[in-house]
Amino acid sequence: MVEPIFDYQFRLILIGDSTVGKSSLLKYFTDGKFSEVSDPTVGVDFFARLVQVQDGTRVKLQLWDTAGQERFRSITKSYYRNSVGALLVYDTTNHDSFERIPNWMEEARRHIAPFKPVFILVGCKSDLPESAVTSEEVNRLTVNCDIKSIITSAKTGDNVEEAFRLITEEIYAKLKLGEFRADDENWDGIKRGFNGSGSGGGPLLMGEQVSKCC
Amino acid sequence: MKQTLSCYKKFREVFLLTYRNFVRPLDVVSLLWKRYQYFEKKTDRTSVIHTRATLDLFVDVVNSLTPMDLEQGMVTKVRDCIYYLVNNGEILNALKARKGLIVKYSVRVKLLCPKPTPVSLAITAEGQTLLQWSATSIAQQMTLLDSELFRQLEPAELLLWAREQTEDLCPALNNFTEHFNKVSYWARSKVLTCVTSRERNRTMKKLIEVMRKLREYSNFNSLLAVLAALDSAPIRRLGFSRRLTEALKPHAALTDSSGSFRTYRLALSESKPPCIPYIGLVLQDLTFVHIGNVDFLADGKVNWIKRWQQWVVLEPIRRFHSCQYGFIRNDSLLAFLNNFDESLNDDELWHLSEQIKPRSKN
Repeated sequence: MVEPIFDYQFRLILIGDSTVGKSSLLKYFTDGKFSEVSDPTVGVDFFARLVQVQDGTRVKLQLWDTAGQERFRSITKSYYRNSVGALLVYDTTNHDSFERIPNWMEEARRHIAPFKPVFILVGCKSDLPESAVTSEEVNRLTVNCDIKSIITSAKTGDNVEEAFRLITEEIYAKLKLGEFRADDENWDGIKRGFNGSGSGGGPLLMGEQVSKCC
Repeated sequence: MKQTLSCYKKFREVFLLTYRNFVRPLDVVSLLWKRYQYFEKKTDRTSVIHTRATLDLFVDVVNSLTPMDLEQGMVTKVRDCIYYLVNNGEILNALKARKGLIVKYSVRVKLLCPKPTPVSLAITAEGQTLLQWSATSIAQQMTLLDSELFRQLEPAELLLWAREQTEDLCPALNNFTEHFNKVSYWARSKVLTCVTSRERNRTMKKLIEVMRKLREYSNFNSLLAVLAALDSAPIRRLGFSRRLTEALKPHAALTDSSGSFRTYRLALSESKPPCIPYIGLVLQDLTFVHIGNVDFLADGKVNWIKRWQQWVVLEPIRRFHSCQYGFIRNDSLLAFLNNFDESLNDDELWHLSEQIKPRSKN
């Protein structure tokens, strides 16, 4: 498989209690890619996808998901370090999972320091229609922590794309403002893509040309 | 004909490993037993063949029961069947079934009512430090401890866990992960409780030597636990010397997730048994196979492709179970390691780390 051309690579993590729906978020995000692969051990990047931000820049999202590995907490935390963003996932029908969000956030902050990760709060709606978390509670948290929030559906996949797009845009905006630097040799949170230049609309065209002449 | 036979054998293996996902073990045992009793009363040739085949599968099912399958109802049922077989002159089959039952039941008792391993009272580990032991001895004793817990992991139980993610389905897995985390926090504590930076560097160097040995023994489990320790934020923020960074490099690649953990999988596939794999990745693979594939096809039939994938993920565990390490127990070193019980928690580790190097203000 040919590696698609991208301008930047962002590493993101999905965190939250173990049964909040992180895996189904990922399933929708990767377009059910792993169900087509008969063997998960063949070396495909299950957790990678290309998204395009508003100015046309192409970003490869590399997700460090730990689904299934949660119990090995001492190692999963070391995955945090090389991330630029974190999706804080809770189950809308499980208030406990919402209450633990600040802990997850603090944990991620500590491990990613001195870099300052971008967070987004993602509520996963399961089959049950009633939410155990009120919108006031969500508002309070997002205002206090200055983060965006979104409700997705684990059943239909609604808003999953949007959740990933929101956090990608925010990271990209900070990158443009100079709050993040690509290619820090001690950190893999943001890397520059294959076509090297990585600055706005131009590179995409250049990237296409490169791929054509090869 | 030969091919059909090997296909049948494979199918049977996959069935034995995965059937708990769609039928209760007690139902399988009861139905097979009913079938056996139905045919064994008849004397025509076909019935005799069915009798043998059914009994053969029955014994395999009993032998593949996991410790957690052996609830009271199951034990009673199987015991009654064994009595019947003995009275019926099926001594060999009865013995085979009985042997499996006893082994698994004793594991169950051990898991549900664990007794602490006695450490000889004459041995005291007081005043000892990590540096006085050789990396080889440490790695060997760590591997012995890991291997004992690894052998208690039942592939069929891991499969149930990946589905339900509830802890009581798989106590052996709890013990295993608990131990993994303990090893990792023990290693962190050893580094951060060093008083001088010289001592800290020597401790880290020792741990890296231990990792090299663990790699040699194909014990990926403790190798990753120690790696996670040295890679943890409270230690990493202190900064490593260039030499330490270089020495860590070949190991650090093992946790790179790109290409679905290509580096680690390659290393694992190149190692010869005995071997202890990193179970976290097995659980992750099982989780993705589970959410990515339906249990039943549109016509209501069992999705065997999914079962086949699960078997592929779990098969190496069974293979590694059959080979043991030949290391000899070293009681004084084990007393020093003290089952990795002496360690600090996250907050304490951060506190020490910030005492060594205060947090920068910005």
